[in-house]
Amino acid sequence: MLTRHRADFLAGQYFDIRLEVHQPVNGSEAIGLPLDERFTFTVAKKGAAAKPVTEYFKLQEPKLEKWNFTWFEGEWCFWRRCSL
Amino acid sequence: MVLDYFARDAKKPTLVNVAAKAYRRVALYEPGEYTATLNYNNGSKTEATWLVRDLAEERKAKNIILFIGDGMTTNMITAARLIGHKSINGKYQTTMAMDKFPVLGHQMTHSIDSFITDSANSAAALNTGHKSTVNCLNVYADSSKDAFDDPKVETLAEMFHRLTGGHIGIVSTAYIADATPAALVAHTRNRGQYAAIVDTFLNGVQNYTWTDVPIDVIFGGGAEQFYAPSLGGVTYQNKDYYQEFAKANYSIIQNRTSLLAAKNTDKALGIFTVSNMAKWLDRNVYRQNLNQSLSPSGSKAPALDQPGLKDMTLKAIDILQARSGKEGWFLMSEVRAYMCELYVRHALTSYLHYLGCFH
Repeated sequence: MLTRHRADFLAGQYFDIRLEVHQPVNGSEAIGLPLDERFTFTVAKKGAAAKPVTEYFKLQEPKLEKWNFTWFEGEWCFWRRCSL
Repeated sequence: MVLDYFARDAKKPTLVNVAAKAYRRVALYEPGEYTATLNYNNGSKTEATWLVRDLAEERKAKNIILFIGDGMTTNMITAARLIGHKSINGKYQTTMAMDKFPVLGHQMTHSIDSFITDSANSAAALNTGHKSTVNCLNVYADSSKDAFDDPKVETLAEMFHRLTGGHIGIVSTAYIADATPAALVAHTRNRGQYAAIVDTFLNGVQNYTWTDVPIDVIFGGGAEQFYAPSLGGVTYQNKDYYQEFAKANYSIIQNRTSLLAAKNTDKALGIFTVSNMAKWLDRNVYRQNLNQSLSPSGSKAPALDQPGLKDMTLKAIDILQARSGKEGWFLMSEVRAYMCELYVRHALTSYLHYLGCFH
């Protein structure tokens, strides 16, 4: 979720929100679920009810984007031998 | 602590499919704490807490100058004081202007993904109040390949112009597409998109609706992003950006003499060398080194008549002042690689330069 957790804004400062749901197909983070294309997003001021993002900001629902990427898992090693 | 690249060694990449949406150009107007919640995978959720800070009710300053010393750490400030000011028995007899500021702060420069910053995300933090990822200019890095679709954050210069109509100036001794000058208005995942950054200076963000910020003054190096590809330039869509700026009524300035003579009422693009501009020491002491910087025209001749940061900053102020009227202005003035520009008053400087200026 971007803008990230713990971000500070100036009142009225424009920003974009990017939401990504990831489906790792293999590796240690794969959980065997299909890619969720029906995720939802809400915004709430503290103490008020959460509203869907489109209602909160009075926006049209943007179209879904899809892509993929690859990365290499690594493992931090501390006080033990690594297979380097 | 070391990283074991077992997957890379085994040539086994992890494939990740991504479903994404972007909500563009929104704002939160009421100060306070907000919770943003992403619901996904049938019951999983991720929450973010956002803090919106209030605006000052009263405008305290008409004009703003943001000086940035690239690489100007506390150690370099100490070295500058050491060179420039006399100390007797541990007591400085005079101090720098910076030492006399009524308010002095200290910023931590770490990024989201690294303790060691780079000029892009540190300048983005200064310009937006948002920490970002190494190489990002005023965006959060998403996982898509496109370097121009990442979620943007509005900058100080953009907000200043949108709210007050104030005029904007950018001055740097670096190539002008470099991260610090770019960070006033550029929005990209990749600070290396120099040619596109130069286009943003002229035309603003083109691919999305966004705050448009005309820039009155641009002074610096980096001619290779301006002159035509036929001369070896590497420009956006292979255009000649001197011509593009001239078409938009900028006066085009290529040396110190014409900088000083330029009319204050015209918008100005001053590009004085290929790549970074010559350092103070090379313009004033080791002048033979000027042969190492090339003419901004693309002619491959040396750029012997270059202004310094002081010339450029004073002229930028004159132009902004003449053009802005009651709205005021915002100027960013950067000295690149601060450690190489320390003011010379002492023989020790040569030694410091020897230590500090290998590039």
